[in-house]
Parts: sequence; structure tokens; C-alpha cells
Amino acid sequence: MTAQETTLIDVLEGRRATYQLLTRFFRTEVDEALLATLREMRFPAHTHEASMDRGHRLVVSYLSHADADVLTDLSRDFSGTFIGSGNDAYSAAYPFESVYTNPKRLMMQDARDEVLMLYRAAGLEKLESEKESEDHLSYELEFMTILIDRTIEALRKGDEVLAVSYLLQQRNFLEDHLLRWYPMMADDIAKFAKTAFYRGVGLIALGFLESDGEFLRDLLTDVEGEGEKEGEE
Amino acid sequence: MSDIDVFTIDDDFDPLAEIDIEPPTPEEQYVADYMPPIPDADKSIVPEPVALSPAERIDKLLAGMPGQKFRVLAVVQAADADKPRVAADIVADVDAAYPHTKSVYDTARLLRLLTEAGAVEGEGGEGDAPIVEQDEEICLTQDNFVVGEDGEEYLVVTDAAPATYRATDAGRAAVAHYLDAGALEAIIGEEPRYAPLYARIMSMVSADGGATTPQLNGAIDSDPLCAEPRRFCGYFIDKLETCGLIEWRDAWVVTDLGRAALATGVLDEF
Repeated sequence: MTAQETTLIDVLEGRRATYQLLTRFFRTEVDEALLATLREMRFPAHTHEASMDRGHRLVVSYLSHADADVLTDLSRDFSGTFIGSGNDAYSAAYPFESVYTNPKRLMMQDARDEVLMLYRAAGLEKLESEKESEDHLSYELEFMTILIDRTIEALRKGDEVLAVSYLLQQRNFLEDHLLRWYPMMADDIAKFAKTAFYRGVGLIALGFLESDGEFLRDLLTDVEGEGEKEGEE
Repeated sequence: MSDIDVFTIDDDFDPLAEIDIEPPTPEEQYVADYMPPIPDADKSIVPEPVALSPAERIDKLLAGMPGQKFRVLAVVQAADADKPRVAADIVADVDAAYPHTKSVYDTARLLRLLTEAGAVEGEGGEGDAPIVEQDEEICLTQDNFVVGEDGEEYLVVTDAAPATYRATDAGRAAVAHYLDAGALEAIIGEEPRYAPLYARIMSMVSADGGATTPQLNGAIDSDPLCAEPRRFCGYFIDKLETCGLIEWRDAWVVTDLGRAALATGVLDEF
């Protein structure tokens, strides 16, 4: 394995860790274990991405001033922000792609069918214990984690062609799905979240997805450029 | 001649060759390819909260958990000291006074609810480290910033300095309103003919160990005063309990408020 590949694996592992954390944030409420992890974590202070920097500051500031009742507060805010109590489809930041890509803001629409197809094409099936529809934000983020896992595995085996195809899948999924709708959900999180914590989480996810999109575009442009050069030679 | 000789594939054929289309830049592909139609996005409005005064909010909170009313008020009383108190001290006092509560709300949660209602006000603990970044949502001190082995600056969560709490005027007013020693006189004033029964109940629950429900039933249910209209002991117990004059602690016992009410002498003649 070349030094360049080792560096790339390090970067991919970093991306995987961030996707895993974001998946956890949007899957369920914060519990004791996650809170303990967050208290031990270090958040980059300067990422060159304004949304992420602001998000990190919001989360750290909130947790640094939180009292003993923090878990109840966060659970309440999780429900208010992502579940809501209204019946007009405009009462929360619903974490489903269908809601944001459908004029009637309905769940289980085309977007869900599309991602379901992609999951199946990748040989993935949702666990029976998971009750949300497949276009839930946390599943889409987890799908990215799996694709990154597979990329790392391919690089470790020295299969560059396969690794590039997984990177292409990531870029396409990010651009065709997550980046298409999550920015709108991020606006709603800013509107509905009562705690600085979830406003911060919303911004971290937004900043990260946008910078990850740029990273993948740059990386694949380089790879394609190298490919063309080799072809000419 | 076979079919295969007739149809040949022109590999050089480009159906778009005569159409002059500029390929989109990567940015255009990303931004303008497809925008999900959300015509009613402006409907996504957060309703304004209903403005209530602290007194109204406290009343609403107490009405929402009638079985815990006096425990909730005990939290306000515990916060009503000369100096603001830390949450741990308030919780310890209230938990000692109500050791066997069946409530799903622990005392720390009650303190938070009372703070939100305006019965108690909290002051964030001040750490020693100087504040380096602050706005309406963020307050980060020097301790929140560390430099890693790689020379990069990182943010870390620090332990919050313990906040202190004290009762507000609205909280004190609620305590005075709901923990009123004059409540016994008011109960008797509503139905003076039952005064001897109230005197009997208060006397029994004031004894060591209080009085069990069967004991009170035996002393009250067969009294001629309960014959018409037919009343049972529970009717009187309910009134006394609602006002906080007696409480259930494995038996009915008189509360401090009940003792204060008896000390006014309102039942002495019975």
C-alpha cells in the first residue's frame, strides 16, 4: 500500500467517524453513553467551514453549561424538533427525504423507493427492529458509513478500481440525496430546535455534508485526471 | 445476403453532434439540476408561545400534578433561603422530606419545572476561566480550547459550575396561597355542622403513628351527622388532604400545616 493510500484511508476513517456520530445524533435521543462520549470528545475549533465551526461551538457551549437534567432536556428537544406535535406537516424538522422532496410533504414517497433500491443494490436490508422508513436521515447517513467501510476495505486489498467505484457511489448518493434535501431540513432544525445542542447538531451536519461533497468531487476529479493521463501515456 | 450484412453499426454516430449544447459546470450540475418543489415552505411556522404570568404558570404546573402539589411547593420552600442554594442541597432537603414519592418526576426535574414556571430563579455558576467567545447562544471560556498534539486547536466540554437557585416573589406567593393555615377554618366555614367530625379526624391523625383508613372510617361513618345526606369519611379526608392539612405516610398523619391550623384554636370548642 502506498503512503498516499494510507493517508487516504486515514481521511476516510475520519469521515466514517463523523458519519457514525451524525447517524447516532439523528437516530435516537442522547443517552448516558453518548453524553459521556461527547464529554470526552475533542471538536475541531477551526474547520474552514463556518457552519461546522458554529455547530461545534454551540454543542460544546451547551454541554459545558448543562445541569444534571440535561438528558431530559435533550430528549424533550429531540421530540419537539424531529417528531413535533402538529398534524399539518409543518410542525417539525421531519428527518425524511420524502417529506422534503414531495410537494405535499408526505412520507414514503419516491425518494424512499429510490434509496430502498440503492440499499438493495448494495446488498443491504433494513433490520426488522428498525421501524423508520428507509429515507430516514440516519439510515442515509449510515449508508454512507457502509460505503466508506467498503472503500477502506478495497484500498487495503489494493483494489483501486473497486475503491473508486465506491467513492463514486458516495459522491452520487451525497449529491442525489443527502445534499438535495438536508439543507432544507437544516433550516427547519434551526427553526424548531429549542436547545443550542440540536441547533449545533443541525449545523455540524450541514457543514460536514457540504464539505464532504466538495472533498469527494475534488478527489474524484484528481482520480479521473490521473486516469486520463495514464490513458494518454 | 444475410440481415447482418444489411445493418451495420456506425460507431462514430453522435445524435447530439449537430446540437450546440454546452456541458454544465460541476457547480451547475450540483445546484440547478433539480430543486425539490416545496411551494408551501413558508407554512413551516413555529407558533408563538402563549404568554402567561409566573403566577398562572405556577398554578398550571400545580394543577397538572395534584398528587404532588405539596412536594412541588416544598421545592420552592427549600429554595427560599437567605442565600441562593445549589440544586444538590435543595434536592437533598426535599428528598429527605418525601422519601417514598411515587412521582415520575425526580426533585431535580421539579426544580427545573419551577424555574421555567417562574417560582424559582436560577443563576448559572461562574467558572474561574476567562470567557473568550460569547454571543447570545455561545459562551466559551479559555478552558474550552485545547491545543492537540498535532498543533491544531480543539474544543472540549468542561464541567459546568453548579448553578444556584432561589425562590421568586411569585414562588413565595404560591406557597403562601396554597400552604395556608386558614384553610381549616375555611373548610369548617363551608359546612359548620361537620366541625365535630373534622375535630375528631384531626385529633386521630395527630396521634403518634397517625390513623389508618379503617380506624377513621369506624370513627366517622356511623356518626349521625353523616346520615343525611349520607357522607363517608373519605369526603372529609379528601378536603383535608387537598388543603395539605393531612397526608398519607402509610397512615393518615397531620402535616406541619395541619398542626399550625390546629394551633389557631379553630377546633378547640369541639
